[in-house]
Amino acid sequence: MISFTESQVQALVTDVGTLKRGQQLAAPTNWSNLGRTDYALWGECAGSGKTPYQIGIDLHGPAYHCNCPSRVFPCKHAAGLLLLQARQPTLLAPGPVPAWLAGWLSKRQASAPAAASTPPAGGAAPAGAPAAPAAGKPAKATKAPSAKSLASQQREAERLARMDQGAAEFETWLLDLVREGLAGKEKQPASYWAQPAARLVDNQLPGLAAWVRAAAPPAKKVPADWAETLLGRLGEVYGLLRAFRNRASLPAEAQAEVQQQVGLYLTREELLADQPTVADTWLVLGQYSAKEDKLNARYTWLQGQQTGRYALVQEYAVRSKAYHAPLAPKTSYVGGLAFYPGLLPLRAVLAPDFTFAPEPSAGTELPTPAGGTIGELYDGYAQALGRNRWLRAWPGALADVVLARRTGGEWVLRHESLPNELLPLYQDGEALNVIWEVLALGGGVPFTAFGEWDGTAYRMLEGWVPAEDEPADTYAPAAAEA
Amino acid sequence: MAKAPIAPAHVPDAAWATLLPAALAGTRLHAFAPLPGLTPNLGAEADAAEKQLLLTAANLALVRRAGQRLSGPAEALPPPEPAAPRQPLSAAAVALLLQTLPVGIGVGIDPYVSMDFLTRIYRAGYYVARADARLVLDALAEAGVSRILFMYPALLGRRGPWLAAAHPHPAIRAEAATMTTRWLSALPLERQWGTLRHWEKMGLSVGASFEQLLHSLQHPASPQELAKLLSVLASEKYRLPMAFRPVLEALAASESAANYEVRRDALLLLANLPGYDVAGRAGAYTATYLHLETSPTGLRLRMQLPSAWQRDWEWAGLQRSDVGHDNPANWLRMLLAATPPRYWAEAWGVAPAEAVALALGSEEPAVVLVGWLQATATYGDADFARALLAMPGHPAPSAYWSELLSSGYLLNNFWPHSLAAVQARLPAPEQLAWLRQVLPSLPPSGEWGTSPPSQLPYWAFLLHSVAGHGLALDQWLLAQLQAYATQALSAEPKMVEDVDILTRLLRSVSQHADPAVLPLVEAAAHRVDPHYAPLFRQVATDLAFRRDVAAAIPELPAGS
Repeated sequence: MISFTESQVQALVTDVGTLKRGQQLAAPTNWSNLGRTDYALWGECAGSGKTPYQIGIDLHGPAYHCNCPSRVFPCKHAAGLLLLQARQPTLLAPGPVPAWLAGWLSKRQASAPAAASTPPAGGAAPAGAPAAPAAGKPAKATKAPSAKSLASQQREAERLARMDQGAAEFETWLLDLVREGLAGKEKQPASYWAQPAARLVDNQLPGLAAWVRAAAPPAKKVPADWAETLLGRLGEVYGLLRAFRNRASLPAEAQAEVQQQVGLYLTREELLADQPTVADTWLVLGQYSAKEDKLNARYTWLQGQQTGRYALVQEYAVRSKAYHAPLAPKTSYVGGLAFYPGLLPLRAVLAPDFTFAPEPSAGTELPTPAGGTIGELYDGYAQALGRNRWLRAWPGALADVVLARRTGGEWVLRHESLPNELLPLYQDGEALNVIWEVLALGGGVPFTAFGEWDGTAYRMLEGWVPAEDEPADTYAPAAAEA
Repeated sequence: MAKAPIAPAHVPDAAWATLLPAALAGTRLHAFAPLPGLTPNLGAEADAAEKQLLLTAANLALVRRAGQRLSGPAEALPPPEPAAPRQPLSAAAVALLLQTLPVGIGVGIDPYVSMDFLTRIYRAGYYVARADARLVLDALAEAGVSRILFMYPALLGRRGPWLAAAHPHPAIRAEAATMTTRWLSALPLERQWGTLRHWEKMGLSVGASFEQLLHSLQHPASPQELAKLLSVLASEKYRLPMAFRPVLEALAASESAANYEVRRDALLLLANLPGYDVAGRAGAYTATYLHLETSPTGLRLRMQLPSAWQRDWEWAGLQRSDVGHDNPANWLRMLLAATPPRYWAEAWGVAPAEAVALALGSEEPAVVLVGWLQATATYGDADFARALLAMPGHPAPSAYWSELLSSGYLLNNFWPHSLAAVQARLPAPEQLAWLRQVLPSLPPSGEWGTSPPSQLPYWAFLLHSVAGHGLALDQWLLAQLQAYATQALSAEPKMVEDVDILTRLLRSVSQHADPAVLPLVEAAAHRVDPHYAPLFRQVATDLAFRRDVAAAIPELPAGS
C-alpha cells in the first residue's frame, strides 16, 4: 500500500500557497465519503457550493483528479486529502473505488506504459530553453537520417549559424570596449550591459548573456576594486566566447561544457536517453532560490549516500507557479540521476524512478553528512577549477565548524581546532537566516555545515547541530566524489 | 582527481597593477604589456592586444578565485552556557504540537492558543528537543508566522534567551538587538509594544527592545503614530527605565494645544519612572486644597475647591475638561487622579483604609473617592485597591457602598469599569474572593429598567473584570458569565455592544479558562441562538486542544 508521510506531502505540494490552503482543509470535518485502495485515495470536500468537490489521487506518480475549477496540480483539495491521509490514515478505510473515479483510474492504468516514461518530477532545462542540437553530440550520428531528422538537422545548423553570428557580433562589441577602455563604465546604467545581453539572447546564446549580466558592476555602492572585478569577469566571458567559437577543436567533454555554458542545453529527454543514470540513495543537503531574469530558479544540492557524489538539480518556474520536483531539504530519496555531460558533471536531472526513500523510523534522524575541513574545501575548489574553469559554485560539507566574527563584524566559519583557517560567509537574505537558525539551535557549539563556495564567500545552506550528549550520526560515503 | 594545473596561490597585486592601466585607459591609448606565464601568445591574430588583455585578466581572475584563502583573527564565540535544567517534550506532545500548529493558524485553533501553548511549555520547564525543533520551526513558518520565526528559535532552542539577550559577547547581543528591531519594524507601531510585552512574558529580555522603543519615540514617522504609541505605553502602565526621561520630558513640555494627549501620556509615563517626581509635583498642587484637621471627634478631611484653573497643573498631566465637566469639583478630582494615592497615606501618616474612611466623611466624598479610584488604577497601588474595594475588615463598608451607589455621577461615569480596573491591580485569588463577596450584593437586574445586559452593573462588572482585564476564570465565574451570555443573547433587541463584549469574553475564556469547563461551553453552544453558536464552538475547539495538550503533557499547567 502506497502512503505518504506529512513531510513527503509537503515536498510533493511545492506551491506554498496551495500547501497552506491544503492544511486548512486537512480537517476531518471538511470531508465525506473518504476511502482508499492500495494505490488510490478519494474523498469529497465541502466547498462553497451545494455539491462537494470530488477528489481522487492515483498514488503512482502521484496524479490528481479534482472537479474544482483550479488549474493548479495538485489543487488545495488534493493537498488537503494527502495531508489527511498522512495525519489520520485510519479515516480512509479500504473500499471499492467510486464510480466517478473509476473511469479516470482506468484511463491512467491503460496509459501506464506511456506514463511510466513520463517523469514524475521536473528538473529539466529551463522553460523556454533552446533544444540541444543533435550535431553537438557525436554519439547520435550513427542513425540513418530520416526525412524528419534531416529537417531537424537543417534547423539546428541554421541555429548554430545564428549563434556563431551572435558570438562574432558580441566579440566585436567586447573588443571595442577594451580598445576604448573601462574607465567610467562603473557609472553606466544597467541598460548599457543589458543591451548586448539581450542581443545575445536574441541570437540563442542565453547562457553567455547571463555571464554578461553578472559581469556588470552593481548600480549602487560600487566597490573600490570594481575595475579588477569587471576586467576579470569580462575576461572570463571572452574566454568562454572564444572556446565556443573554437568548439570544433575541443574534446567532447569540453565541447559539451561550453555548449551548456553558452546556453545550448540538452533537453531532459535527450539527457535521459543519452546518459547513464547514477542510482543511489540521495540526501538533499541544501536548497536555495533566486530570481533569474523573469524566472524563479531553485537550486537543490544532493549527495549520494553510497557514491558520495554531489548533484545539483536546477529548476525553473514562471512567476508563482510551483516547481515540479518534490525536493525538500534534509529529505532522502532513492532512484537515478542523469548528469549533464561536461568537464565536471554536477548538474543533473531526476530519472523516472526517482522517488522518496522509506521514512526513517520514528526518533531517528537522517544522517549528518561527513564533512571536511575548510582547507580541504579551498583545495577541492582549486582542483575543480583546474578541471573546469567555468565552474561557479563548488559544494562542500564542513565538520566541526563554529561561527566566529571578524573585526568588522562579519560572520565567518572557523574550524573548531584550526583557529587561523577562516571561511567568509554570505550573510544576506536566506543565508543570514541559516546563520541565525544554527545559532539559536546550537548556541555556538561546533556543527556540520553544508553550502557552496564560489571563490568569494560560502553560502551556508544547512547546518546540522549535534544533539545534546549524543554523538553525531554520520555516514561516510563509500566512494569519494570523482 | 586530477591535479590542478594552476597552483592555488595569491596573485600578486603587481600583476593586476600591470593590467589595469591598459584596461582603464583602453588599448588604443595605453599599450598592453604581456605577463609571462599568464598571457597567451596569439601570434598574428587580429586585435591581438585586446584579446590578450582579456585572456590575461581571465587567467588572473581564475588564479585569484582558486587561491582565495581567508585567514587572520576572528573572535570566537564564548563557550555556550550550560543547558538549563529542562526536560524534553514527550513524543506524544510533539506530535500533537506538529499536528496542531499548521492547522492552528487559520482554522480551528485560535493562533493565540498555539502561541500560548508554546509559551507555557517554556515556562513549565520543557523544551522541544532539537530534532523536533526544526520540524516545529518549519511548521510555524509554513503556517504563515514567519514574522515570529526568530522568536521561536529563542523559545525552542535551549540557549535561545541567552543568545538573544544575555549573551556575554556584546557583538552578539548587538546583533540580536538588530534582529529584534527588524522583526519589530515589520509590525504596526501600536502592536510593537504588545509584542515586546509578549516576549517579556516568555522570559525574554526586552532590554534591546527598549532601544527600539526609544528610537521610535525620538523619531516617530508622524505625530499620529507618536500619539498612538504613547497612548499604548501609558495604558499599559508600563514602568520604563530612566533612559526615557529626556524624551518624555521633551514631549511633556510640548506647547501645542493639539498635543494634549501626548503631554498627558508623557507625564503619566514620567510619573511611573523610578525616582521621577511628577507624582510629588501633582501631590503638592493637590495638597493646597485638602487639609487634615483634628477635631474633638478625631481626624477630619476638609477640602476647598479651586477657584480657577491653574496652568501649572498641566505639568501633572491635566487638561481643562470638556463642557459640562469644566468645574472646580472636577478639577480637584483630576488633581487627585494625577497623584499617587500612597502620597496621601504617607503625607497624613494613615493607612489606606483610614484614608478611605476620611474621604467618606468629607464634604465631597464622591470627588475624592473617584479621584482615588482613578489614581489607584493608574499607579497600580494594590494597598489602596484593597481599601477602595472595601475588602473584609474595612472599617466602613456599608457607608462606602451606599455612597458609591447613591452617586449618580459616579455610577454614570466611573462605575463599573473604574472599579474593575482597580480590582485588576490585585492578585487573581484576591479578585475572585472579592467578586464572590460583592457580586451577590449587587442588583443583577430589575432595578435598572430596560437597560441591555451589558449596562447592568452586575454583568458589566464581571465583563470588565474578565474580558477587559483578563481575570482567570474558575467554574463559578464561568457559570456566572454563561448566565450572562444566555441573558444577553436572548434580549431583544440584541445590542451590538453585547455581541462585542461577548466575543471578547469568549476569547478570554478560550485563553484562560481551565479546560475542565469544556462541557459547560459545549452545552452553551447548543442553547444559544444558532447565529452565535460558532463563537461558542470556537471556544470549545480551543479548550479541547488545550485539554489534549494537558493530557499529552501531564505536568504542564492547563490554565495560564
